Amino acid sequence: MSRDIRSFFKIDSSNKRKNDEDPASSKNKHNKIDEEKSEHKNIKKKRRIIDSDDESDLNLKKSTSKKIKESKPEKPANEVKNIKDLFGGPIKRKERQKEVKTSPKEDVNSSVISIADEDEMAIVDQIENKLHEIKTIKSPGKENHKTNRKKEKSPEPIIKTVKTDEKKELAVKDRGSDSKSKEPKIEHEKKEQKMESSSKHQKSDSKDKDSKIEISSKPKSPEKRIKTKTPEKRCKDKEEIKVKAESSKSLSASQPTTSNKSSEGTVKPTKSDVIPKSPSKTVPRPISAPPSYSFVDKYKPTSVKQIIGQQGPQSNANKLQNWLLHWHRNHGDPTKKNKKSNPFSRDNDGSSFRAALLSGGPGIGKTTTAHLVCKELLFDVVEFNASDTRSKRLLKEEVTQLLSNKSLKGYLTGDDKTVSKRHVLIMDEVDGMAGNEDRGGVAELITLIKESHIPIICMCNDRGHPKMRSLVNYCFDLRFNKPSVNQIRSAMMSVCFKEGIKLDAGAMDAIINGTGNDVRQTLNHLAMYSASKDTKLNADKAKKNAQMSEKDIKIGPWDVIRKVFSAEEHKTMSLNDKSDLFFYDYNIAPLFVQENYLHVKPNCKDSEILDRIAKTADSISLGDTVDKRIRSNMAWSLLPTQAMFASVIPGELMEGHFNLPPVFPTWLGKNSKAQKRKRMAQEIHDHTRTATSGSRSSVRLDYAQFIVQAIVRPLKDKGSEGVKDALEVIKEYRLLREDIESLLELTSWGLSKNPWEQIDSKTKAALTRAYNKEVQAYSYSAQAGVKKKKGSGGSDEMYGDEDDENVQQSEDDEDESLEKNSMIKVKKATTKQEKETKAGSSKSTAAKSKPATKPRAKK
Amino acid sequence: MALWVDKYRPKELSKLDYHKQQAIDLKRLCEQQDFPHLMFFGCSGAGKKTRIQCVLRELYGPSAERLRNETMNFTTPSNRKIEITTVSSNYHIELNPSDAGIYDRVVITDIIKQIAQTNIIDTNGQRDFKVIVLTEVDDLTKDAQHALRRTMEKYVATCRLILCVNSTSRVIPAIKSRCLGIRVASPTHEEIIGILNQICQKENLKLPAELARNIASKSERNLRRAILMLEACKVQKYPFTNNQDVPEIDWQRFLNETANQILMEQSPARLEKVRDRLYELLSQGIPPDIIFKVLVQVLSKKCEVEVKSQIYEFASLYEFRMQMGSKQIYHLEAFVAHFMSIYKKYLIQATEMMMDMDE
Repeated sequence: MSRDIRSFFKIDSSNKRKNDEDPASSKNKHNKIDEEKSEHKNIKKKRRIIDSDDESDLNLKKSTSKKIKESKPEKPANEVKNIKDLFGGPIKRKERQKEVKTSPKEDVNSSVISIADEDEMAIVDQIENKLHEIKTIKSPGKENHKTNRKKEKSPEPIIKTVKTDEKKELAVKDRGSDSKSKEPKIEHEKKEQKMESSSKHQKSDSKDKDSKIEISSKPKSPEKRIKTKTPEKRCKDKEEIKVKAESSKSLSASQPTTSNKSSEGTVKPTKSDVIPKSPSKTVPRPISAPPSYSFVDKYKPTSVKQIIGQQGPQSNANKLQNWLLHWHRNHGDPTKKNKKSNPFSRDNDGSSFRAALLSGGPGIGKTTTAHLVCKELLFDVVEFNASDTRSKRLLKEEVTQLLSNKSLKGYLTGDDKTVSKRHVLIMDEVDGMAGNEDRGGVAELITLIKESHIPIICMCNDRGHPKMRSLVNYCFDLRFNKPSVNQIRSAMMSVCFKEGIKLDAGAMDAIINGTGNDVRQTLNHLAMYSASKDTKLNADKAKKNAQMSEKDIKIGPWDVIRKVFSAEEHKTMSLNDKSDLFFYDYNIAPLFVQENYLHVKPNCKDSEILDRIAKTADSISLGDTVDKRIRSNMAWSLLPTQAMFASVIPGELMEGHFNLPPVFPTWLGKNSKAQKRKRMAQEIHDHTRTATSGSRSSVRLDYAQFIVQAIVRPLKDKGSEGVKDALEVIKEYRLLREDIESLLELTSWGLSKNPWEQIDSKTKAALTRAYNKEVQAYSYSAQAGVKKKKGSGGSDEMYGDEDDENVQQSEDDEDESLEKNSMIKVKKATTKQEKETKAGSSKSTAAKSKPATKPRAKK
Repeated sequence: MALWVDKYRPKELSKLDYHKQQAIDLKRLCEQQDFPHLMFFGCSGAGKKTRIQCVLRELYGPSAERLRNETMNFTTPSNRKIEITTVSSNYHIELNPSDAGIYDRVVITDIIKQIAQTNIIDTNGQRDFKVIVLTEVDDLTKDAQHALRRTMEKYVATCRLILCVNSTSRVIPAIKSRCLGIRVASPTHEEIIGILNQICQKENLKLPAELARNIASKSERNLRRAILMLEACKVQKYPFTNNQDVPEIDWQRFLNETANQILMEQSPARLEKVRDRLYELLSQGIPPDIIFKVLVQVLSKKCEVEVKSQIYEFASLYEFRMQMGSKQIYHLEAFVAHFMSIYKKYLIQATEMMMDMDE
């Protein structure tokens, strides 16, 4: 029984096509009885070729289904009468001539249109549309069966038939491993077709719907009748062809379509040209895959269970399934607010999210999982991937349109007028939303997610990408991990077995490792091996090949630096390989080399080491001059030169092994520190400019130390009595309080103690008070406060904290004497600053300083 | 209470302590109706700014000394907001275009032009031009310098430029030829001693001759540094004694220590330590050419002539490379590495020779 069904299923796909051809062929025959016999023959011959093609395909696949195949070819011819009945009288001569012109070259399908009256055409079209729409309502695989079932059953509401078919088809699928290979294609086409049809039936007016429904019930029955009669007719045709074949040889020779191979290839494009949106486009391809059929598609999993690494209740596929299954329960009611589930809990089912985000590296089955889960839950998939433009506007238009789609099922049964619930929007490759084309796409996607009535599944490779950051918050996070080598290997071995590739487990492991556990890539490699007929692939060779491909895999700077100086690695590396190391990241590579070359012990005499180091340093210094050239003149063609000086030569000279583990370049940190201090010196210079002569560097080199001494010494020696002197200096040089900090940092040399810390905190507080009291605001004061806030925290605490209460008091007093508004402003800025510095050092002081700011805020 | 260095800065041309003939010439120049663009050049601490200030006073009177700080904002073509601080009186404005880093050209084209284009409205002003003082012109990029030359010619009716430069070698000839160059040589040791004595007189202090000479030699003919040191000495210990320690400036001490560390040991580990110290110096804003200079001075003292020549050769090579490159530490380190290599060989040779001698 199972076999029969399967074979039925297979035949179906070819039958389906014949159905489309049927009206044409029938007419052909009818007309050709009168005259132009040769043409008639030609067409028939062509059909025969197609039929035989189908047959051979089937034969390749299954020999068991022969019976049915033999009986099948007669079908189309049989239709003739019925369709003639249906459409009435013989077809006009003109049209026949048209047909004559087209038929020799074009597919038989195209003749459907050429022959039919306009009216007839409309009807046929509508039938097809109807069929098509029903397909979109229901989930996968039904069109294959439709005709099949119709043949067996008496006319009845189409939807029901489809439903039962579906179940059967699923059953068939599970049993037959063979059919798997074909299904991906079919499914693929279905997808397209769905997109098309859904947009199509949206366009159709609501008025049309009544007539459509009528049509759907009417013309179907004749079609069914046709099919039941087909077998004998076909046979007849065949015989006829055989007889007439010789006589028509001359003609047939001139026809390109008579060549056996081209029935598929040449026919298809013309077909779609003639009837762009007709469902005939969705006719499944011949059952057995042509040799060009890639392994990736051929062995694509057809059920969730077959996806590598997605078994088990905690798998992403399962989670996604549950999420999708409960989506409408969770989000169906827009008024109901979902409570946020803890996103960190292990058993989070993502019920609060309207969208899911599948993330993970390429080739590990994200897209496959999403599609299969949708398929198994009978959801219709609407997919947008990187090949579609997904700009803000387009997304809004296209997707919202699609999301508000109403399925025709509702119209047919008359009960469901709401938006179809069985849609899923799949946004594939969301991280590819970039550039001008897709500008604002992610933002639009987020708004879409917020309002969506259907579940949305997004997919990306790198969820840590800055572009994804906003999206991540709205999505149920499902991270796909790379499947293990074992998981891939077992699946790949079965593929090898089916394809007859002899590959031992070691070689297979090497391939898998070489691709970085990328299933798709592994399959591609297998395809290559099978194609190259190199069936005796052993582990060593595979490893070599894997290494070749491994080159394209990025390694981090840490691995690079080890390789640069490793004598071991150098043995197997060419000069190009060595310079390639530099190009893994040419920004950071020179820094790593410079930082770490002293950690290497070169393989040479001890007395030579310093010499080598000197030469290395020389080369690095040259490399830096090249770097400057590159970056200032945009002379990027010099990069290979820099690679030599900055990486290859040092590596060669210092070839050996690491004494100490490599470290991250300190240059970056030191550089930013230098920049920061430069800014500080600049600020001090700006502030002291009216009082001092000298450039920035001379302020730094000469003044800084002495100013600090002039301020600190009186405080240190005389305590609070020295405040006056210190303040004099501060005023003279128009320093802000934060400038003192900067000066202290500039004059501290790591080991030396910060002189400020040696000052009594009471004295410091006194200085702060006095400063606030006496120092007028400078034009740059407010600004400096703002700037500082952005800048560094964590500077040493400057002002005494014990006397904060007093400070507050005295500040209150002095506030009354304040006249200038600007002063108040300045004070706010400075207290903010104060707060910040304190927050950096200790919380308690920060809390203390808060009340101090309040009275001023009132003012 | 200002530091002595600012407190006793001469305010008028006639009160300058050295280069007196030059001062007289400048005074005559100011008395004329016309006034050329000036370019003061000389080492740091020689008194360029002091002379510029004096010239301004000579031109506009004491009101040119009433200075105020202003911040000017402008937007670069790449839409970055940059602000630079200026010091100005009613008659002049002083700014340092190299504060804007690589955008110095924009400062020249925008701000200076804008200033130059506006006329002085003050009718009772002595002059019909105002003065723009540009400092550190030798640090300007070539682009900025080229932008400057047209401005200098075009707006000569409304403004004069006074440029303040450390070394003329980095100023393009086109600008040099448009200016009257005035060299302010560093004061000699004697001149410094004289000035130090004057200050001590005014402060009612007694300065021993020995100490004054010490300070003068330590200051490397940098008058500013000399006066600052004198004050530090006073704070440290008064009354002065003849052989009192002259406090070294922090970074000088650090740099000398670094050089001594190089001399003490030559090994990769030591080189790495030295690298850290060099990083520290650079991040403190000590110009790398000064680091080079001091290192070479200290290191070459310990070597014989042939080794010395090698050291100078490498020092000049890497200083040049440093100008051509972008990461100064690389070149400093390369120099140190070469020195270590050479010096170690030299030491080994020396000990071998000693051994031979002993035998």
